[in-house]
Amino acid sequence: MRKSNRLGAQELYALLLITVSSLVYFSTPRYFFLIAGNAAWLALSIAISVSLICIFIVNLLLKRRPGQNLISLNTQILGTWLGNVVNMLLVGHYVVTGALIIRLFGEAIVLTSLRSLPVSVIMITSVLFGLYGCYKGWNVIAKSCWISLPFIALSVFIPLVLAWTYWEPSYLLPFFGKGVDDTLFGGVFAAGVMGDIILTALLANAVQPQVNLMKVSISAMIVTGLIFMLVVVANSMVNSYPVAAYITIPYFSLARTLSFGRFLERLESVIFIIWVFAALLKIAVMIGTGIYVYKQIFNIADTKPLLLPYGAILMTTAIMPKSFPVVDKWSWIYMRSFGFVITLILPTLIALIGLIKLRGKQEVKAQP
Amino acid sequence: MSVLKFLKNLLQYQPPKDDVFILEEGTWAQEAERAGEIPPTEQKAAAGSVAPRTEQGGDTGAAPGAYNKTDTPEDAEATTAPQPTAQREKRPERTLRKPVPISEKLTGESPEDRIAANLDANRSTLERLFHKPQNTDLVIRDFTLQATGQCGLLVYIEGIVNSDRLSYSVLQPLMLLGKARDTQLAPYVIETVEEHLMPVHQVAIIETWAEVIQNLVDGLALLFVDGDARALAIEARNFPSRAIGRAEVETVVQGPQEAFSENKRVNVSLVRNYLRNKDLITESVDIGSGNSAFVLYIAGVANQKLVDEVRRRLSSLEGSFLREPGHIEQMIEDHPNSLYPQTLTTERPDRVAIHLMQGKIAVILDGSPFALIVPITFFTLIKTPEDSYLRPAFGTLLRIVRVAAIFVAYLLPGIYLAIVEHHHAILPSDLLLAIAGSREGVPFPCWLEVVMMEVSFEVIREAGIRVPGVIGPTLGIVSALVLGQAAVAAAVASPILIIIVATTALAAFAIPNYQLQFSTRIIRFLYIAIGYALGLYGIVLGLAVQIFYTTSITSFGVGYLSPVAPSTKTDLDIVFRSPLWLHETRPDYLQSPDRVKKPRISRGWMQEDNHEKK
Repeated sequence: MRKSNRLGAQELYALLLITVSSLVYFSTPRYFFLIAGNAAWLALSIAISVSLICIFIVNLLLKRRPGQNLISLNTQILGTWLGNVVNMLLVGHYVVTGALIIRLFGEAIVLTSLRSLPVSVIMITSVLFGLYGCYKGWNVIAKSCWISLPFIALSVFIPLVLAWTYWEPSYLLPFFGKGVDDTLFGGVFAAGVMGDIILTALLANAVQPQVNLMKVSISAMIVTGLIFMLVVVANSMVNSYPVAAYITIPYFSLARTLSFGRFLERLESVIFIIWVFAALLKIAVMIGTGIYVYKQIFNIADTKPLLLPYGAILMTTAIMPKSFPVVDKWSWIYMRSFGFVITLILPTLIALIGLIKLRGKQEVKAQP
Repeated sequence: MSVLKFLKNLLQYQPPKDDVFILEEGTWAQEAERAGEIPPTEQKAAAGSVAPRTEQGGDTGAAPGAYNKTDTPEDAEATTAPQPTAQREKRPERTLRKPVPISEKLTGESPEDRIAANLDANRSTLERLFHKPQNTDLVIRDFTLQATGQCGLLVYIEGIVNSDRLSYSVLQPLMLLGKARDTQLAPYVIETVEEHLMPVHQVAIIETWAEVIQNLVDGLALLFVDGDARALAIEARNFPSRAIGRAEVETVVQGPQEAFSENKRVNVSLVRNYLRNKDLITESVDIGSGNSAFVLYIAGVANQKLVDEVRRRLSSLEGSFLREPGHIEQMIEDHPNSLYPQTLTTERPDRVAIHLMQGKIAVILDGSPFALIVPITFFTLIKTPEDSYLRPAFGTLLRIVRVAAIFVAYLLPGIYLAIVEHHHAILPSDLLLAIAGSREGVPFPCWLEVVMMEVSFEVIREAGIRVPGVIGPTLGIVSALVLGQAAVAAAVASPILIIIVATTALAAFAIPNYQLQFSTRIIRFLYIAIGYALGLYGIVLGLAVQIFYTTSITSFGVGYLSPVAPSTKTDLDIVFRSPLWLHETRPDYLQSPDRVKKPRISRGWMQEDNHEKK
């Protein structure tokens, strides 16, 4: 029986899964081929492991301080001034990531299906959609994620499984691809790709108290990792690394290669629908998170007045890059360096400091 | 300034005194004074019974009989300014006051609203209240009580009472029975009649005019006796109603065939026939002015907070004609502007019984053969009673077909337009050539073709409903065939589009809920527009917005997509349906105090067989 309007475990799980894993639809899997060549899957597994460790540490802190989220804990641990600087960094991160995702999404749509449409139309409509989701609230976004999860999961797995006739396992060799150093360090820095898993910590106080955040976030991270792994491995085996590294949207390309008989030759159109849906949900989550963090920092009671200004800032940022290759490059540079630091390293360090500070103190019981 | 004065003059309009409604400051006492019942000296005291009300409907707190004070400087200036004529000086400034119905006015809260002991005064009040002699329906029958020798009046409205009962069970004993001229009984005559001379199953003593009016319009007969300031309300209702008929809107192949009629008492008894449960409560709630509804629920099964909320919403309604579930649902829904229905309207007593057993609440109104069920979810709308009467696999299949039909009804023309305009590459080559070939020679752009055909179909559909009797469906079929054929022959529309429009229409008809059908018809046009403008991306965007919206709305606080989102515990009976013996609990979203619907092992014979084998 649901007793409150807060997010349940299933909804949070769906929210995390879709937010993090929907990056497979974009150019993200390509980055791992660029980092590690044939060992893209190995670099990815390192990235997943790093993310898992980070989220585990952050969750340890959340477990000690139930009913609080990372934003309030940042100020408690680092002090109001420094804590809010870190929180503002998070807002900045979500503005930049949100803008990049919106631009990438718009460019990808134009590139794959709507060539005659200006990219700004797609960007504006997707931002408006995201703002509408934020207007309705986290509960609505999370419930929508939960409803769409089976369809999105099917759309991910079907092309991968159907492509088995094209698999060539020898493309996965040599084992360490470009070399141990590149694979190892590249994998660690690429963990920023999974950075959105930090949503668990940001939304911790919007979740029902009985939800086991650790369990939800770790399991969501593992499943997301598996999805990424499947996509990367399937791409490696179908396209081989040199080709896969230069395919802009690998997943769409994979779906395009599929044809069964004379009728089922355009499977990507079905995938396209689900892909757009997942991406729209991701955009709504990105916008919602930025606004949510901002609201928490300044103790704003109602988020609605923030929506339009935030949307305008996002659009302005998103329109800045000149072309798709530029956005793609920025996205890669940002996620590999700053994204990794802001979403994983910084929260983990703060959590460690917090755990040390709180050592010996009793756990605070969550208020129902 | 002159504009303000003009507006002020407009506000000074007074409705005529002999209107159905009376003005606020003209209390019942003033009305009676006009009729000559109360001496003018007593008028002031009587007028003080109800404080005057402003046009906004709030009490002003002004002295009885006084007019409202001016609110603005302009008003004050107008009030204090010297009047040009003596006639104007006499007429005080008045503002428009909200008229209130007589029935609302006569609340029975003051002694002046009580029935008089004088029979002639009562007669004249009745005649005035019911507009006699213009209104010929009110019958006032004079007679003399055999028991006491007092004069009496039997009052009723012709046509809505059982005249045989009045003759044989009311007038006959009153006029023939009793010890002749027993004057000692006179002070207790109403009690004597009630206890000894009235062989009718329901009678009640009433004392106010408000009760008199309500009982008379409800079909009861009233007995007034000279010298007694009370009346006896006698149950003699006989509103005309049709017999219990077959369900016409929610037909089923297998299952009960009977449907509600227009009599709410009969409807409740039909539900009781299915639900022989001592805890089934039929609660009467007053709605609007003079109407009442039966609220049905099972005590201990329905959540009490939900019952209170339904009662609160219903009893708060104001309006003179709230007789139809369609009216009520618009007034009590959480989101009245939504395209989705948030109450279930059903004509089937078995369906009401099923929902009551789940812990929901039904509202039955007089004069309507439909009941309202609250709260509902989206998944309630895709179910029919037949689903549970059939094997689980059959029920599941039917529901899957309906869900597919909903998607087709919403999306098909929009997707067609999106593909033809933006994404022809995603079609297999043969199909693409077939579509291109069929569109050859059509002079209109594709969007216009789609809109034209959809609008034509809506017109045919509306005409088919409005044309009476047997001609209706025939007209629909003939129009569709002839127009479709002619449109293709004249190269106005392509054959593929005719197929698409026809499939969409059939899909809409496959949706079991009439109101949900309507929503698909409207939303379909939005998808056509967005599909044309933004292609498949637009369609997905529309779907995503629709999902956001649907997850955000509620029906009496229950999430519209429950039990899927929010995900709550429930038996497998959403789209897929598990066998009946596995339906052991009530849906969690209803928060029923008694969550268990039936014992864990509901097939006792299986248990017995297992014991025997052991």
